[in-house]
Formats: sequence, structure tokens, C-alpha cells
Amino acid sequence: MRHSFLDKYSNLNSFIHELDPRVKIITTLFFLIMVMITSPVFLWAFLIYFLIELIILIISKIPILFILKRFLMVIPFILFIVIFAPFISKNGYAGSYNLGILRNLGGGFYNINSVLVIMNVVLKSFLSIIALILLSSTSPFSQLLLGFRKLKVPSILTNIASFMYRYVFVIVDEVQRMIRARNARNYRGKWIWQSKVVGSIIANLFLRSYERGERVYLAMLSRGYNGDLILNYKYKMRWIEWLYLIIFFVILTLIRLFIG
Amino acid sequence: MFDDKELAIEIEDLSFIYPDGTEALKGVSLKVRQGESLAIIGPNGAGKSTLLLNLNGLLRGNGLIKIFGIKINSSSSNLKNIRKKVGLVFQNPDDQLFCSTVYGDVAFGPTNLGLNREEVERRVKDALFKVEMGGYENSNAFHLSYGQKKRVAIATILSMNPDIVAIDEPSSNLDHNSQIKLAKILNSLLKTKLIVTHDIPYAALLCDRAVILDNGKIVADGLFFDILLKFELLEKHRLGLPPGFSIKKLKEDKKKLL
Repeated sequence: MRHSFLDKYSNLNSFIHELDPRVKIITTLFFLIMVMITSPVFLWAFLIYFLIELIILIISKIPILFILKRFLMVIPFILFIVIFAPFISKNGYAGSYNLGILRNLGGGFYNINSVLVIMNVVLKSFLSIIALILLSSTSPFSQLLLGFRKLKVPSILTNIASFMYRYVFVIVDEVQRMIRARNARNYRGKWIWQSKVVGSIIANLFLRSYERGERVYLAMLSRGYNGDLILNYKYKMRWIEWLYLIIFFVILTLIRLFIG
Repeated sequence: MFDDKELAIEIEDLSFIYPDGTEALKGVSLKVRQGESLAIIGPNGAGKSTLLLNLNGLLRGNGLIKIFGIKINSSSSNLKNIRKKVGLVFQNPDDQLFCSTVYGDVAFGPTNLGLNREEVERRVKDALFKVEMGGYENSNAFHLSYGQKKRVAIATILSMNPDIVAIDEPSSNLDHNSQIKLAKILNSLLKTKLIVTHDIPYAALLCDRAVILDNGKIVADGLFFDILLKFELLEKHRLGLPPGFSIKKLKEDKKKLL
């Protein structure tokens, strides 16, 4: 059975792909913080943020369509914000709500404050998601985790992520097999009966995963497991990494000083 | 029976009861010499896998187990030592391969042994070469075929350079070609081997000696070809031979493998 990779384009060859994942983690984090603390009225700043991402995107040769598709997954969240935006009061600050929506209706559904909130959410989520996709698509997942590990992220967190990456496909396969086996036996009926079947599939999956966890742990113990999944980290900090890091920090700080 | 100095595994009166009350092993005694290939055959639920898990202290039953003369106890230094000597390959390679790359899985054991990086790398390369999986270091285990996974699972043990290799159901879910390939690889390993299976013809390709384990007890022990002739014994323990099976053909196949 085929599944798309989480890190589908991580094996391309480009300048960005060859950088030490630690550099990419730090710059991404810095970028996210800068985007978050920029006020939504400074549209030029957002345009420059986007241009930076676009440049990295072009250097790393990742198809734009792929990134746009991934962006679709945040649309439900944005939709919720848009639905609730009319409740945002006209003269309060962002985050204060007005339940007297009906009184405002005559003067237009959305006021300036709610438009700002919507812009804030749309722009920032768009930029953040692209930044994260760029991070996850330019380094192999295992090396990325090691990068986090080298940056002193607790091993328990990186181990959990590593197991997730390894077993998510196995579990998806199991679900697909169960669903197929269910459909092969003429699965139909009232929704109440259907929900019962879905419930038992979920319970089954939980038990199987639980037991698999135990077996995996035994397999780890029998190879002398003592707390850390240490692997080979391929990267070193070269002068080019330091240069990239410095240029990135300088540009973002300048944007913040002069535009944001 | 044997000179005790040559013994790789010595089990005396081992019994094991699971927390739910299932008596999986009821007084198993077994001696395995160094360099020997032993098949432990038995029907489903006979206690074969439980016996394997006891061999490197993952489960602790009542009774005595000695590995190269060293008694297994629950001190961590002892367990570390034992697990270095006894490599277990689990039945389902998806349980054995838990890292995001093949390299990670094969390097896991030697890294835990505290070897330096060059040595780990050398061992990974060696082990993957032995199972004919060189060049797959950076693949994700999920994207390998079942036969490939099974071979990588064996490499994860070989990289620790154990003296005893114990494999649970090596032939399960493999097509004919993969089985033959695996048999060649296993036959080329100069180690003490334990093959746990209910696939009797396949075990006979790999091993000269067999014991039958049923209902937690060892009910027969001897040369494999002698045991194959005891149809009644096999039938009694739910271990029939496949239709069309002939010992002559098996002997020919076995010769071809060597």
C-alpha cells in the first residue's frame, strides 16, 4: 500500500537541503517568532517575509503546488475565525468580543477590528505553515529529529516523534485492512449499527498498537536499550551555515526595525 | 551427554507462568552445544516464543538458564552481558525495526554496546552486506518488502556480533525465493543457531537437530531426519508434514544450499 511521505521532498539536492538541520530549526523558529510579533497593519513586512520564503522555496526546488496543497489543511481553522469575526467589537482591541452583534448589523457585518483579526490570522498562518513545510521538506525526518536532539530537546520527545514517523504508516495500513475486511462482508445498515462497528475498529486498533508497543519495547531491550535512540548525525556547522544564520538574523531584524 | 565446556545454552527445569495464569512452560530442560543449529518445533501456542524470550532475560521464569556457563540473573550488568551474547530476531519485522531508517535500526544495538562511531559504521555495513541489503542504509523500513524487512531484522542482530542467534518463525509470510535466499544467509552464519518454527521442512533445511515442544514440555529431542520419520509422534503433536513431502527431496535441497 502506498502513502505519501511526511518528508516527501527531503531527498532533493539543493543548497538548502545540504544545510545543517540545526540551522534550519533555529532560523525557522526565529522566523515564526518574528512573523507572530509583527502587527497585521504592516503589509510590507509580510510581503518581504513572503519573498524570503519564496526565495528559499525556489532555491530548494520544492514544487509550489505541493506547498499550496499542504496549506489547505489550515483552512478549516481560518474558516472558524472568519465565522466568529463579526462578534469582535468595533472599538475594543483584537481579542475582545461583542455579543450585541444584531445591533451592529445595520452598519455592516464586519468592522475594521474584525477585518484586522481575519488578516492577522490568514497572513500569519499562511507564512507559518509555509515555513514549517519548508523545514520538514528540506531535511530527512530522522536527521531533523537528530537536529532537535542536538539542540538539547529531551530525548523522550524526539523518540516519540521518531516512533510516530515509523509506525504511522503501519497503523494506517492496519486501518485500511480492517476497513477492507469490513466492506468485504457487505457492511451496511443503520448508522447506530455502523457507529458500533467503527467503535470496535478503534478499540481493536488501540489494543493492537498497545501490544505492538510492548513487542517493540522487548525488541529494544534485547538489543541493550538504555534510554536514547542515538543515530549518526551527518551534518557539521561549516562557515556557510554560520553565514546563513547571520544573514537570516540580520535581514529579519532589519525588517522588524524599519518596517514592522 | 556433552562436555559441559562446549555448551552454549543450558536450560534446566524452566517453567513460566504468564500473569493471566497461562502455564506456557512446564519444566523445560535443554542443552545446546556451541556452533550447533537447533530447531525448536511445535504447534501454535506450544510455548516456543516464551522460551525464546526467556533466553535473554526478557521474561524470567523459574529454573536455571546458563549462557556459555553464565547464569542469567536480574542484575543489569548480567543482562547486558547476556543480551550481547544472545541475539533475538522477532517474528514480525515491524516490531524489530522501529527506527526511521534502516541504518538507525542496525546501528541501534552496537551503539547501545557503547562502541565508537567508526566501529558502529563498520558493523552496520558488514551486517547489511551479510544479509544482502547493502545500500539500503537510508531507506525507511516501511517501504521495504517483507523479505527485505526480515533480512534487515536479522542484520540488526548480526551487527551486535552475538554468539547465539535465535530466530522466531524465519519463514513466515515469505515467498519461496525469499525463503531460499534467507536459508542461504542463515546457513552461512557460523554461530549457534536456534530456529523456532512450525514450518518443519524449512527448519530441516537449516538444522541438523530438532526438539519438539508441545504444551510447555519438550517431548522429543534428536537428529532432525530421525524425527521426520516418526509420523505418529509428529501427528500427535499437531505437526503433520505437508502433502507431497519427501525426505529424499529435502536432502537434495539441503545439499544445494551448502
